[in-house]
Amino acid sequence: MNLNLLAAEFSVLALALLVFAADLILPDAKPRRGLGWLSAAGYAAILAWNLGRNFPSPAFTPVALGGSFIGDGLGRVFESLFLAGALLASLASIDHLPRKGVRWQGEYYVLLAIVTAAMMALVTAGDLLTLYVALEVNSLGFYALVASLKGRSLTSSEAGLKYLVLGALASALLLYGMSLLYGLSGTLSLQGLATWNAGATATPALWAALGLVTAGLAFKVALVPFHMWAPDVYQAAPTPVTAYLSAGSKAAGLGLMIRLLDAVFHASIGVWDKPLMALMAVTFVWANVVALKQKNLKRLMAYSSVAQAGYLVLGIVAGSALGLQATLFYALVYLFTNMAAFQALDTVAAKRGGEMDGLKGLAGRNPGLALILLMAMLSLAGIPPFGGFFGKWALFSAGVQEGLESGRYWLLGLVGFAVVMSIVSLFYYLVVVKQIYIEPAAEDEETVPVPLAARLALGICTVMILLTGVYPSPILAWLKQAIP
Amino acid sequence: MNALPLLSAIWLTPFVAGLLIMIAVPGRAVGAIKAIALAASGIALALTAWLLCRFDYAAAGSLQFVERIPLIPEFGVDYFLGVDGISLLMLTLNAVILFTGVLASWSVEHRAKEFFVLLLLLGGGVFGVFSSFNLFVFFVLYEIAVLPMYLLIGIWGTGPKEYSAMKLTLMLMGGSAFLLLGLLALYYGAHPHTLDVFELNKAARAGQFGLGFQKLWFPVLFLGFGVLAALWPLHTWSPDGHASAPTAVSMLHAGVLMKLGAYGCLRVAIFLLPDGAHFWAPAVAGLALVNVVYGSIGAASQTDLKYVTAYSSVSHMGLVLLGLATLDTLGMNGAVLQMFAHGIMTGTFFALIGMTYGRTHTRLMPKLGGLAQVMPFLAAAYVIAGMAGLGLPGLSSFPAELLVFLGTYFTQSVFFKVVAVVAVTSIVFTALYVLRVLQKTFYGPITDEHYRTLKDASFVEKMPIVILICVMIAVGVYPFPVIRLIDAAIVPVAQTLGNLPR
Repeated sequence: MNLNLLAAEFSVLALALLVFAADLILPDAKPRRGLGWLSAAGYAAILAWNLGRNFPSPAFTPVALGGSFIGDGLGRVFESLFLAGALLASLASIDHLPRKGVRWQGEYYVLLAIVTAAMMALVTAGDLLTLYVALEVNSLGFYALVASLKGRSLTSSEAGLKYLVLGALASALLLYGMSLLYGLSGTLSLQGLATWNAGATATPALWAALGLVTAGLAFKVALVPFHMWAPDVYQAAPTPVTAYLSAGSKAAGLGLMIRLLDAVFHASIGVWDKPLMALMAVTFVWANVVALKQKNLKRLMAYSSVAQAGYLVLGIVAGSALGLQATLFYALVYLFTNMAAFQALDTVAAKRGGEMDGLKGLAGRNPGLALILLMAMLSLAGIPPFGGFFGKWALFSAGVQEGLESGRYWLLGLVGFAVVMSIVSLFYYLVVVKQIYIEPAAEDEETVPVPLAARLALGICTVMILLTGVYPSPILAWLKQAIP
Repeated sequence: MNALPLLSAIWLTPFVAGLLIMIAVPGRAVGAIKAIALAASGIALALTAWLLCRFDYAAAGSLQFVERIPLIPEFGVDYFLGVDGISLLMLTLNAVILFTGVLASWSVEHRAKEFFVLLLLLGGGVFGVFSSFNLFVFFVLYEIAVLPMYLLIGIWGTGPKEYSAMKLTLMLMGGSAFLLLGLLALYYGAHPHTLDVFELNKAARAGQFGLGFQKLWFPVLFLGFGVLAALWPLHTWSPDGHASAPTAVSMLHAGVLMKLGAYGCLRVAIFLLPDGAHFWAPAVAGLALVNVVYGSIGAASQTDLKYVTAYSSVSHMGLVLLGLATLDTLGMNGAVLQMFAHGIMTGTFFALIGMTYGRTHTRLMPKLGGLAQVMPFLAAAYVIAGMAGLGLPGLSSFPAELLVFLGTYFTQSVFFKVVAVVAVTSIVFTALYVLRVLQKTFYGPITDEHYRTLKDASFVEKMPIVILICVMIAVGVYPFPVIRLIDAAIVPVAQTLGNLPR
C-alpha cells in the first residue's frame, strides 16, 4: 500500500468533512462567509503542499491500491490545477452565494470539495472502474451545484436537470465504450490496456469502442456537437460554478483524454485522431460564429469556452510530448484567465446585471476591473503579452511540428484553420472591450464595489495571466518534468 | 559587445513611462501626463541620437549593440536585440515621429491618461520590433504595437471610428495570424530549430528550405506583413483607419507602423526565403504596381483631406513594395529610403491636417479655401510636404523614388521595365492630387467668413512641423550618408538572393 500517493485527494475529502462540521457548529446566521474562507484556506494549503512534492517519473508509476490509482506526473499537474480552480471558485462564492440568497451554503462548499476530490481521482485513476466511479461522483456533484440556486431561480433548476439528462447520456456512451474495451482486451487496468493496444490491430470493434469513448469525453470538454448543454448550463448556474465548470471540469475531461487517448491508446492514434480533428473543426466554426451574436455575457463566455475547447484539444491530437505540455500549459492559462473573467463579470453583474450593456463605460468608473477584463479578453483571444498568446503559440507549435515532421498534413491544415478562426473570435472579445472602453457610461452609473475575496481572486489571476505570458519558462520546465 | 543596453533602454523608456502614467498619475493631472509622455519620447529620441553617434558606420552591414538573454529555451526564444543600418534608420524614424506625435497631441484633453499610455505602448512596441532579431520577440512586440490602435481609434477617432477600428484590427490581426503560421514553419524548417533571424538566414543559405517549402511559405509571410504595408488588395483598412484615427495615431500608423510591414517583408520574407522571393517577385511587383497607380488615382478622387493622404500612403507604400520586389540592390535601397522618406512626409501631412481640422472642424475640401491668408505657416508647411509628396528634388522623397524607379527599370526582366514605365505615370496623378489640395484648401478666396478669425500655428504646434521639415530637407539635399547606411545593410540580403557573390 502506497497511500501517501493519495494524500492530496484524502486531504480534500477531509476538508469536505471539516466544512460540513463547521457548518453544523457555526451559529445559524447568514451570510456564512466563514465557510468560503475556510474552504479557500484549505485548498490553498493543500495546493502549496502538493506543489512542493517531487514528480515521480515515468508514466503509470507509482501505483497505489493495487493499481487503482496512479501517482504519476500527469496526475500531479492536474491535481494542482483542480486545487487552484477550487481555491478561486471558493473565493468567488464567498460573496456570490449571500447575494443570491442561497440557503444551503454548507452543502454547497461540501459539494465543491467532493467534486474537486472526484476530479483529482479521475485523472489519477488506474483502471476503468475507478475512473468511471470518479467520473460519476464528479458529475453528480456538478449537477447539484448547477441547481444550487433552487428556489431562487427556475432556470438554475432547469439547467441542473438538463445537465443531468445529457450528462447521463454521455456517461452511457463512455460506459458502453469501456465495456467494449473490456470485452476486447479482458482487462480494466489502464496499464494492461496500453500493453494490449500496442499489439492490437484496428478492428471495427476497436473503432467503435474508441469512438464511443471519444464522444463521451467530448461531452465533458464540450466539443461541438456535444456542447448542447453548455450555453444553458453556463448561463443559469451560479457564476462561480460556471467558472469552475468551464475551467476545472473541462480540464478534467482533457486529463481523461490525455490519459486514455494519448497514454493508453497512443498506438491507435490513427483511429481516433481524425474523428477528433473533425470535431475540432466543427467546434471552431460553430462556437465562434454563434458567439458573435450573443448579448448575455455568461452565454458569450459559454460559447467562448466551447471554442477554446477546440484549441485545448489540439495538443492532444498532436499527441507528442510537446503537444501534451502545450495542452496542459494552455489549460493552466485558461483556468486563470477564465476565472478572472467570470470573477470580474460577476462583480460587475452585482450592480449592473449580466448583459453586455451593463459593461458600458466601465473603464471610467472602475479602471481596475476594466483593465483586468481587458487582459482576460485579450488573453482568451491569444494576444501577447498575456498567457493565452503563449499557450496558443505552444499549441500551434506542436501542431505544426507534428504536421511537418511526421507528415500529418491534415494537422497542418487544422492549425491553419484554427489560426483563421481565432481572428473571428477576436471580434467578439473586442466587442466586450468596446463596451468597456469605447461606449460611454450612463449618467447615473455608479462605481461597482469590489469585495475583498474578489480582489484576492482577481489578484492571483492577474499575476498568473501576466506571468504565463511574459515568463513561461518555469512553468514549461515544470510541465516538462511531469510529461517527459 | 556593449556594456550599456542602449536598445533595451530605447524601447523600454516609452513602456515604463506608460506604466508609470497608468499606475502613478491620476487622470485629472493632464499636464503631468503630457509632461511624462513628452519626456519619455524625448529621452527615447535622445537615446536614439546617442545611438546614431555611437554607431559604427563602417560596419553598418553587421549587427551592433547586440543584447542576448535566453528567455524560453524550450521554444528557441531569446531576447535578442541588435541594430544594423536599416534598423538604425527605422529607429530614428520612429523616434522622430513619436516625439513629434506627442507634441501634435498636445491638445488632447478627453481621457488623456489612457491616450498617452496607449500611444507610448505603441511607440515602445515599434522600437522593440525594429531592434529585435528573434522572431518570437519580434512577433510579440509587433502585436503589442498593433493592438493599441483599436482603442486609440475607437475612443479618440472621428467619423465611423468604431467600424474603422474594428476593421483595421481584424485585418491586421488576420495578417499576423498568417505570420504566426509562417514563423512556426520557419522554426521547424530549420535544423537545429531556431527563431534567430541570422541562424535562419544561414539555414536558408545552406539550402535547408527546399523550393517547394519556399514557394508555399513566402506568400504566407509576405502577405502577412503585406497587410500592414497596405499591399493591394489587402489595403482597405488603411484609408478608413487613417481617416478615422486621431492626429498622432495617423502619424504613427502611416508614418511608422506601415513600415513595420515593409520591414518584415524585407527582413523576414525576402531575407529568409530567397528562392520563394525570386519565384513570387513578378506577382508582388504586379500587386505593388496596382498599389502605386490605384492609390494615386484614389487620392486624386477624394475630397476629405485625410482620405487623400491615406490613399497617397497606399500609393507610396506601393513604391516601397515595388522596390522590394525588384530584389535588386538599387531597388531595395530605394525601398528602404522611401520607407524613411514617406514616414517623415506622411507624418507631416497628418500633423498639418490635424491642426487644420482642429481650427476649421472640417476636412472636406469643398468647404475649405483661402486658408493661406489666415494661417501662412501651416500653408507653407503643407506646400513643402506636398512638394515632397510629388517628388521634388531637394526633398527626401526624390532620391527614394528615383532609386525605386531606376531599380525597377534596370532589372533584367522586360516585365519589370513595363512595370517601371507604368508606375512612373502615377507621378502625374500625384501632382494632380497634391496641387488640387493646395489650391482648394489654402489658396483662392476664403470660403467661410468664420475662417478669418482663425489663428496660425502656436509654438507647440510649429515645433513638430519644423523638426519634420528639417529632416525632410536634410535627407533630400544630402542623402548619401543615409544611402550608404542602407546600402551596407542591404549587402547581406543581396548576398542571400544571389545578386552579390556570397
